Amino acid sequence: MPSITFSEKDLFKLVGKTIPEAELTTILESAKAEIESRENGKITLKFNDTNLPYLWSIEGVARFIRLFKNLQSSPAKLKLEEKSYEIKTEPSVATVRPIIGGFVAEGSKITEELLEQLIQLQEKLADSYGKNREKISIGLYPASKIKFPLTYKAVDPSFKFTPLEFSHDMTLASILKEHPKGMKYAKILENKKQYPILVDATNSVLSFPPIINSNNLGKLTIGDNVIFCDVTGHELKDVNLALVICAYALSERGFKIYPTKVNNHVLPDLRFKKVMFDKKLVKEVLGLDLGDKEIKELLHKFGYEVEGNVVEIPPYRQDIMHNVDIVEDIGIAYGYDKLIPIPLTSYTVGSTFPIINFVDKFRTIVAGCGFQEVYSAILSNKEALYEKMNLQESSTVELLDFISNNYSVIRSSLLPMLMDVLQKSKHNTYPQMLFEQGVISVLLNNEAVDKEHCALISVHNNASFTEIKSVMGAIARNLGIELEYNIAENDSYIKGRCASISYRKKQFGVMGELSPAVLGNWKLELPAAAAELDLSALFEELSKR
Amino acid sequence: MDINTIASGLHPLEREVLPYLKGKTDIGAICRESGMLEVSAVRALGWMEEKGIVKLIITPEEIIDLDINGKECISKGMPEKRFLSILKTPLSLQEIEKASGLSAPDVASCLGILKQKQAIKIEKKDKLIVEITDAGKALLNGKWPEEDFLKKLPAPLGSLDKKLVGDLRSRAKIIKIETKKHKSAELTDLGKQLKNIKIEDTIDKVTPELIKSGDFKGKTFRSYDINAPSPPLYPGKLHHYRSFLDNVRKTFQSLGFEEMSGPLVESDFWDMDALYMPQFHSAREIHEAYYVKKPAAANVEKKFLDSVSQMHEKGGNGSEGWKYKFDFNRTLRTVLRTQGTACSARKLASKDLKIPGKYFGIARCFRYDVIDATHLPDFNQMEGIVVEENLNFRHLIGLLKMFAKVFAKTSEIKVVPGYFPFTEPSAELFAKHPKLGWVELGGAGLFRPEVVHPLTGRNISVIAWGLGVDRLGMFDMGIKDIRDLFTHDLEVLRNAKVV
Repeated sequence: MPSITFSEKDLFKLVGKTIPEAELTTILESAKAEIESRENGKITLKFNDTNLPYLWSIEGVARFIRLFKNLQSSPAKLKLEEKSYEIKTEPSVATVRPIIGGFVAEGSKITEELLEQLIQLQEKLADSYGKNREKISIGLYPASKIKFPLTYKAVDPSFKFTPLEFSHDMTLASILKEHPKGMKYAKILENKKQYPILVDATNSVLSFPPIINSNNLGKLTIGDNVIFCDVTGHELKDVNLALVICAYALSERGFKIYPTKVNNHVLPDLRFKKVMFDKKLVKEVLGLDLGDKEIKELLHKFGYEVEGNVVEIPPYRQDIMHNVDIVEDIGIAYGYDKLIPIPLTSYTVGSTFPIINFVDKFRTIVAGCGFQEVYSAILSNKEALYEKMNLQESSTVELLDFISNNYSVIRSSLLPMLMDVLQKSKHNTYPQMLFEQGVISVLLNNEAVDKEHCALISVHNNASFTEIKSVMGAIARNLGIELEYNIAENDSYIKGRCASISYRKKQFGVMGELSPAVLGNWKLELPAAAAELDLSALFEELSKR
Repeated sequence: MDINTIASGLHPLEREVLPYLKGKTDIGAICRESGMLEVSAVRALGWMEEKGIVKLIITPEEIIDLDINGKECISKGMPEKRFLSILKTPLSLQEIEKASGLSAPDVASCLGILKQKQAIKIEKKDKLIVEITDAGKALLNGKWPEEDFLKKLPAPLGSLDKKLVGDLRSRAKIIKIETKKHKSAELTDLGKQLKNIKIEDTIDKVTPELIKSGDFKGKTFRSYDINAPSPPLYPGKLHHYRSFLDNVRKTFQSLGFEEMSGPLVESDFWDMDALYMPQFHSAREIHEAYYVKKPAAANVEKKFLDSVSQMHEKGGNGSEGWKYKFDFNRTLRTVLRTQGTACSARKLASKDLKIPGKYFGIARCFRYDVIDATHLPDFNQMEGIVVEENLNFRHLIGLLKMFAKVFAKTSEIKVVPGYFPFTEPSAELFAKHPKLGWVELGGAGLFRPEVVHPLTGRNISVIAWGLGVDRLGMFDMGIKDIRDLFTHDLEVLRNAKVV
């Protein structure tokens, strides 16, 4: 989730007045933002809504507060100057990074604080909204040395210029290999035969989007009073949104905004989008009876314009795609705390799955036999599931990528979970009797199949096959069924002391005395009798009765 | 403690020992007199000391005991006695050795002792010839105090003839001195009083015969020290956190909610696409979710692939849609369920969806995250939906209020604007916990029309909610580290409260 930091003095200057802390918190809640820290005159805001990039600048936050408190008349319109600058695009960029737009801001001065805020906005937009510059990237330049019109084109990797903070020419290819920014963002241009470049009328390089500005024209400094801003990307709507957000921010800092003409488009496109608004939805969605006037006033708090059934959406709000998005803003402007709750009154019958009731009974019986229940993570690893259990790996649901090898597959049995408890609890008194009931997953016909399993183990000086068989007998008696046992071979268990467990000829489990090799793998020093049962299979068979 | 209470609580062994305690009494003496085993007497005296009846006195004491050769001295007689007894005629040393079975050094030492007592004469011819004297004969037929002495061993040094001790100690390995702890017991004032009162016979054990005979009538049972420690017992029991989840599950059922579920390995489709999260959403990056290697792809019914992809690409039903090219391979990618909402999407699409219907699910979810006190790759989410005609946001607040009351025992709640990709309007629920203050309980909202219509084919209001069930459980059990919910430490499991 994005967060931004700014000075509170600067914020209240932009708002036009100081807002007391409690009120500020409430207004920011309405912007789905929370104050993460406030110290030494600096505020850090965290945004829970990743879909509202217009708030990721101090100017955007201040605008939200002004509108919400009716300190600024709505709609929040921005007027462009008539004069425009031209950016020519060559067809070569079509397969590389096709879209560009820009504007020139003039008439105020870059202060240290503003420069800091502009760079923060540029980074947040390009990193969070722009997906680390893949979707959009932004360049800022002192415009005084730039000769318009500009040309946006794709060139060969051998093209040379001097990148920012460097004193010598580098080819585009070596920038991607050697320049810190180049290495960081090289992935975006992977597999491209040519790279995008923005040059002015004298063929001086402005930048190599989306990687780096030139050292000559691309270095904004305090005191500059004419700024050029460009945005490149893949979709016109994304590029325009970033331009709009930056233009609003600079305009609110006292700059006049001169648009650019790109392929006969004038950018930024600051038109409010008109949509038909169905006012019935206010009642349907919020349960509120509001008049037209009230709705209009509430929408003004979010910068909308309203004309009859038409709502005009500010150009920086790309997130509105359905009437319900507008309804939510009305609800927030009205205040969630003022909404009177209504209880649900429909009669519905509560229930759970039959197998859940079954496994719960099963757990109660096993606990009654003296076993302590264990509850483990579902992610596990092959070493625990197979190697340490003396088993061959099979049918495992495996992860593609993982942070820790300990959590790299879904468990395919539960006994290893209990072995881990035993290994970590050797200092505790014996007998140690444990069980776990829970879901496991195995690969069957190239599909992951979840099953309810149960594993139990008893560890002490005299743990034996007879003991675990007695437990199975107790379980069977309490379920009112008879079980069949057949001699089985399983390398986790001692040969000749291992049995398969079946109900009505359907095998659903294995039990026996654990092999000393397995005990040794888990650093255990006492004999153990254990069982692993597929309760889904047993339940299925029981349901047929 | 009252003397009569002490009396009635005396163990049979204590009763047995008591009469033999006179002043400071040696434990050995008690055993000899009473015929008790030493371990029994020692146990009884130990208990009596705890009750303040006796004082145990332990003093180090030098004990004389038989050494290796000493035992032979008893069974075969003293070596010099054996020496003399074979001297029917004068014999050479070799002959003596042979006839007596004594070793050469023994024979040598006997020569010294017997010569001193003038019991033998030694003549030197071509070899030494030994002959018994009259004094020797008298000695042989007289008393042998050494043998009587040895038979008394082991005995305390102080009780023995000093001269004999000295003589025998100078000889090879007949006796040895050991330091032992000497135990004796002395009645305390309380003990003296106890000995003077009449102690009634009490019954110790309830036996089948006792019950049948009725002999207990009019008699008292020995009373116990109820504060004596008992060994710990660890019963079989259900896991504390699973029990909490069991209760949550019952609570939802009692509120009229039906359980829903879904698989651990989901498709991108049900986990995200069906919830109208665009395929370029940042929560879908490779390092935000656990994508699955095997199985690599899932199956999704074509009907839903069509309706959902259509909504992403072109919108409809009042929506503009996300407007991008939907990737049909990507939607079938397998991923470990990242959110319980996937179960809600499946329920909405299922044929048996009930309207009106209330649903809940406790779903194990997975997140690609570094593990610490508040993050596990593996956690539970409790999610659900309420599907009914004409539900609005005020019903949702009503529902959240009820949840706060039921699960956080508070009616003080705060509902603030929230953001989820699949709900609009969206809200976050905070509840005032009696101890912790405002805590975040969960999130909720009305499902977007873009979620509901493609899955149900109609426009109907659906409240979607999620509560942080692991957090609720941690509050409930006073646990601060989420890793403790899944602990593998048996001590924690055994000692965890089940309520």
